[in-house]
Amino acid sequence: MSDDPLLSALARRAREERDEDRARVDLERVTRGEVSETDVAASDEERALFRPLDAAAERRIADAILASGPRVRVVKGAPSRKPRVTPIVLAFAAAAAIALFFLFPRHRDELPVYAFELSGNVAEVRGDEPKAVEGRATLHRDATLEMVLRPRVAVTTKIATTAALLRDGAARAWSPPIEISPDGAVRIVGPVASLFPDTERRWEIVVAIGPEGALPRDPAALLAAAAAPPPGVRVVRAVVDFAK
Amino acid sequence: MAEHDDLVRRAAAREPDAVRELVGLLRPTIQLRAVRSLIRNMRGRRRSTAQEVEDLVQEVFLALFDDDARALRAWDPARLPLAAFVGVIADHEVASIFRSGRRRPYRDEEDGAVEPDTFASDGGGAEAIVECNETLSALLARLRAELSPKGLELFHALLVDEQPVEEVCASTGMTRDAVYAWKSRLGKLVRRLAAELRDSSRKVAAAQRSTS
Repeated sequence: MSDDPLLSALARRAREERDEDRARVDLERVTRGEVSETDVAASDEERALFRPLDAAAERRIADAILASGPRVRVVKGAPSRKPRVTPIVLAFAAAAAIALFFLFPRHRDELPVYAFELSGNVAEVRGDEPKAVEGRATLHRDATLEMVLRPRVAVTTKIATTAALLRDGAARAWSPPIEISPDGAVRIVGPVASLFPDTERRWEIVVAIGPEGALPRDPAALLAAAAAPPPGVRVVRAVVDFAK
Repeated sequence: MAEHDDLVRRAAAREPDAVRELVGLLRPTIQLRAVRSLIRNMRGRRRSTAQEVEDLVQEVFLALFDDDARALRAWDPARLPLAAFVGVIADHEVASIFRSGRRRPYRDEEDGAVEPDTFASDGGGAEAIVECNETLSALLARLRAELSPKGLELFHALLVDEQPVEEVCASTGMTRDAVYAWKSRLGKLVRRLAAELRDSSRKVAAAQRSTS
């Protein structure tokens, strides 16, 4: 027992909640498949909640896991160069761990939840909030940038991308190597030194993903779309700085 | 306990057959944790649906596999049965989902945690929380969302189950100092969460007064 009355009260309430859970032991046996729901007295709502998810649901969940892929993608230093990195540069390279996480609607017509992780910072955006997410990273000039936007569940419609680089309020078209997998994952990868026009100072990356006909047609339109994405278009922004 | 070791390793490597088998194995545990949390959060406000259950279960599974299945790979068969380990993670994930609003079952209501006038009087403080089960449940929900699975495990061992520190040291492999540090951290965290809950409740009460 704790000397802290609040902690003690909280622990007591947790034990009470556990007892409340145990009072539904018969229903929980339904979920475990140990008894049939017809053998248990319960309301319709209780039956709906405790009824074991069926094989189709389990298949959907497994498919979603397999489609999700690893969430973290690390920006690797270029191994071919002669090492000339200092500890501080190594720290920057580590800080450049970049991960993008991209969630499309599931099997219902609902707005998606987005999570975007960049250098350890995670931002989550509900479907009823603006459909653009942002992140930051500091990149080593000798590094390889790998950016992956992966749907949690496979996307069945055909998607395309358009990208731009932004600096000082001006947008320019950006055409890095982009791969789109059959399940809708988008991968941008390449040496930092060749991906960007220069690595003197900060760039902002803006990537829009969506049906080809719905995508912005030029960098200026993409910039506008980043502020107010058109229906069906998802926009990801990332600010990248370069290690000194 | 180690019987699922190989299955977990293969599933973490995303072998399709292993992933499917693991989903079948852990689905009852995760569904039960999700349903318990749904029931506690709904408190009769409105009906939950089977679709919500499936969505929550899927979210927990995806969290287990996030970041190259980091959470799943953290399972130590020598310490906890797989289902117990996953159950703690499920409690945390479901509470986080509700807390963040990603799938808050009462999104159309106020904060959803406590009645707006719970802390309305100036004297409303720790006493008001200790005496109100509903508020304690809301605080517990916030604690579950805030604590890491390890913190949750320690909360249950030290405070809910009132295990002696020596026993907790033995079961977790932690030193006495580390366990006492956690106990102190839990106290501070709970006080901070209680203060946040009180502020949130007062803001809602003030907003309701200004519109009435």
